[in-house]
Amino acid sequence: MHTSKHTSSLPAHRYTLVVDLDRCTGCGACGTACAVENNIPPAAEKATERTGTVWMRVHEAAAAGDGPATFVPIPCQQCDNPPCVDVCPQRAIEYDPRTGIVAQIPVRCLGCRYCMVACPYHTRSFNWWTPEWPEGMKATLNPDVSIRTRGVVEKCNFCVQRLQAARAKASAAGQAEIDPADYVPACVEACPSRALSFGDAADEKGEVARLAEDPESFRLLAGLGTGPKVLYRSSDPAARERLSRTGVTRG
Amino acid sequence: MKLELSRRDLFLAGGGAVAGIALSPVPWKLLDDLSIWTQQPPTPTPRPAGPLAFRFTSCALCPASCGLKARCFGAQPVGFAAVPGHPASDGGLCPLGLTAHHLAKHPLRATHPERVSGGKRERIDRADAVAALSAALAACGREKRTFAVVDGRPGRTLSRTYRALAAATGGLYVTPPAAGAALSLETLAKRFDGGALALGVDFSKARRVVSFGTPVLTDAGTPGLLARLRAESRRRPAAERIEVIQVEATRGRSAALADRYIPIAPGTEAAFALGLAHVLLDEKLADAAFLDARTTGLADFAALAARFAPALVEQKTGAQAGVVTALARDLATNRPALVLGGDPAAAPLSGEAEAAIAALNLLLGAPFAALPVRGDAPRATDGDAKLAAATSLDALPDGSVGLLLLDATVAEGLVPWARLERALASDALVVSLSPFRAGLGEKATLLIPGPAPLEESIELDGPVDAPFATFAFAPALLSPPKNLVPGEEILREATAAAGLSLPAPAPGSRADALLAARRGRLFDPAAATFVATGDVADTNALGELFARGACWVDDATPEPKGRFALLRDGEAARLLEAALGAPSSVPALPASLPREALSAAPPSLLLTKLTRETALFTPPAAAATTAARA
Repeated sequence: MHTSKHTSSLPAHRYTLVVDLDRCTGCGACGTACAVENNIPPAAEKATERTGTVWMRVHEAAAAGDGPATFVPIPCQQCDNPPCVDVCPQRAIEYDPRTGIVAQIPVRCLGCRYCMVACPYHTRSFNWWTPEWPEGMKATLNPDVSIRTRGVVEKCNFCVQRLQAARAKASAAGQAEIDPADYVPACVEACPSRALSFGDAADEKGEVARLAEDPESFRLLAGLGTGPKVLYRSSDPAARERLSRTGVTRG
Repeated sequence: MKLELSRRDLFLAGGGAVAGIALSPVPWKLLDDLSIWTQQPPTPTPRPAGPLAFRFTSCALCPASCGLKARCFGAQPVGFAAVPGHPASDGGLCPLGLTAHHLAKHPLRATHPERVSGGKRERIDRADAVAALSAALAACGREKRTFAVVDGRPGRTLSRTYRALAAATGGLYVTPPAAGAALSLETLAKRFDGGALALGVDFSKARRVVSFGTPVLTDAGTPGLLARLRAESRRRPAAERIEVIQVEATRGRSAALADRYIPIAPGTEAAFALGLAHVLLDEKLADAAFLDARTTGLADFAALAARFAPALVEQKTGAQAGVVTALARDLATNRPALVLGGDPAAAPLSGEAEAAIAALNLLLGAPFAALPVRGDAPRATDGDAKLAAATSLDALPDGSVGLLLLDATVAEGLVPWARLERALASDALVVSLSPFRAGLGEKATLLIPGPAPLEESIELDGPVDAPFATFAFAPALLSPPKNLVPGEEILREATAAAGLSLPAPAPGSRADALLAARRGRLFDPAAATFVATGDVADTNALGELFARGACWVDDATPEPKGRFALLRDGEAARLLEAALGAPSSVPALPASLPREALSAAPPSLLLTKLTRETALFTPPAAAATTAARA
């Protein structure tokens, strides 16, 4: 199995997203909430499914036989052995050992897109166009997230700005640790069927740690050894086997 | 002296040069400079004025009336989240609601009155717009032309004004037809002989949900509720699990997610339902106690259902006889089971199909269990004002309407423009109060825009298919542009100019009515607590609660006495004819965002990402139909 320096010491926190595929209806609320929270612009006229900027993509996985369809939300998998980090010549991607979050740093990004090639989950977008919002709509943007200029690679960062805000709040209150309720990514907050759960897997008593140990939980492309911190859960063994082996290809 | 350079010397010099350069700071400085030059300067996001605050309201875009928690800087919301524990939405929120704060700045937003003249749309003064409306109103009385007003949200204070206006002009007050599960509930309730009855849906009490086209797992009722309940039940013992069975001609999104999808030929829903009834009665699987105590006309209905043996149903619908039999047995074994009818927007079921579905619910004993009786939120009295009664869309005679007034909340998915257009006279004036040049607002020849969603407080009766009644005054989060006034004010101005008189506002407010009824509880979203309505001091205190986004929730309603008719007089023949008729044409599959068809506002531009950058919402042409199988 592939190992790298990143797994040599597991982080103090392991922020983990668990997606219950039994609950997901593919409504797209997670992707919408992600776009609102992270100031992802409306699609340019020329955008297509392959060239648009989307941080949270929802795929419909083909059903086996006549069985029910499975919708699979796919954000950045926040790997513990992220293949994208090592290939970036600009060090525009950093693995934070304190949280396990793989952060994309747009101001450093050269736009060479090596990371997009290296990512086996195709969860990164290259923003081909200058972001444009209708006049007046800029007032509705989230002031905690800067607008990326065109020509950089973007991806989910577990709404790390919410983590920073939670840290600031905890610091102001003199607390050493943040309140878990203060750090919830936008997609998790928005999911109407509560298919998404988020938390610190290092907290052994937490719900996410329990879900991570659930026999119905699995990782996409588990054989690659990238160690994703996005876990999926399904009561359908065939779906588990298929997705953990082949993943969901884009497009 | 001759200088001799060997190849070895060249290699040594070259290697030394490379090593020297590598050891010097030059390449690293160049790489560093390159990275600095190419670094993209961040563009700071404009920060709206004002401190960060969380405010609460309710989403008015569709009847689900979900609670909204708005993250605001000053008065400007920059993001929404659902309200955990909210009684109307149970913590759900759909993509439309998540982007409601974009709508005030939507490119299709109209902030000035517009008139279509000579095929061109032109901006006009508000005074001119009101004068045009008032002239048309006066002409209705003078020239005996029909005035019709379509109200998307009956029951509001503004609705009373519409009704008064219709009465003053001898016109019609039109409300949208019931849709989706609400249509099935209405059909069933009309069969009750014990007085007016309102039924709701309690998915948490059901073990089987059969849907004849209503997208119960995606668009119907509270967002995500049934999907969540079903997923939670999957981890319980088999006897406690909820299963969803979708019976329809096209494999839409809800059908794709259902535990079982049974394709049938289009327009054969009545035959399929009667086939299920046949098996239930033939094998004595129906709820005999409920039928004895709460229904009439069993013998006639049994005679009708006896004609629909599974073999005939297979012939008519294309669904295998074994599938029909197995489903009927499964429903009987796993009660409470409920059956819901037509699609909310694309192709509502026929009255006969809804009648067969209502009978099926009675055979399964669904009323008062998974289909509980619910009350209505108390309303203010109408006083002695002369008000027009609500009429259905079908009551509009073709080519008769000279002035059509469209309320801002009329969703084109529920009130199709084609149907309205048929009712218009050749020179009719169509006036819309929509704040958008989209949907029915785009069809208007005179657009007098009012406040956009979130710019105006709106009275929200909760979804009619919820198990209990709810009510909220969704407070406004934004201020409308200065030149825009609410529809009520425009109507009063135009009516006065036309020489017509509207009655004074109702003597009591809705808040007074709620307090006087002394029932139910109020949910305070900020504290996530309930307070009994009886404990609220007065109307002012109640108003303060509603201004904070509170939601009123009704108490449980006791079962009324009375019986349901399995068949109405003469209905058997119509049902038989419809069920034995030929399949209809293939219905179109709506390829819209969740609840888009139920909203009068255009979707935010951000939501185009859902349709353009994902394969989630496939166009109708890509929908797999089962016509061939039938």
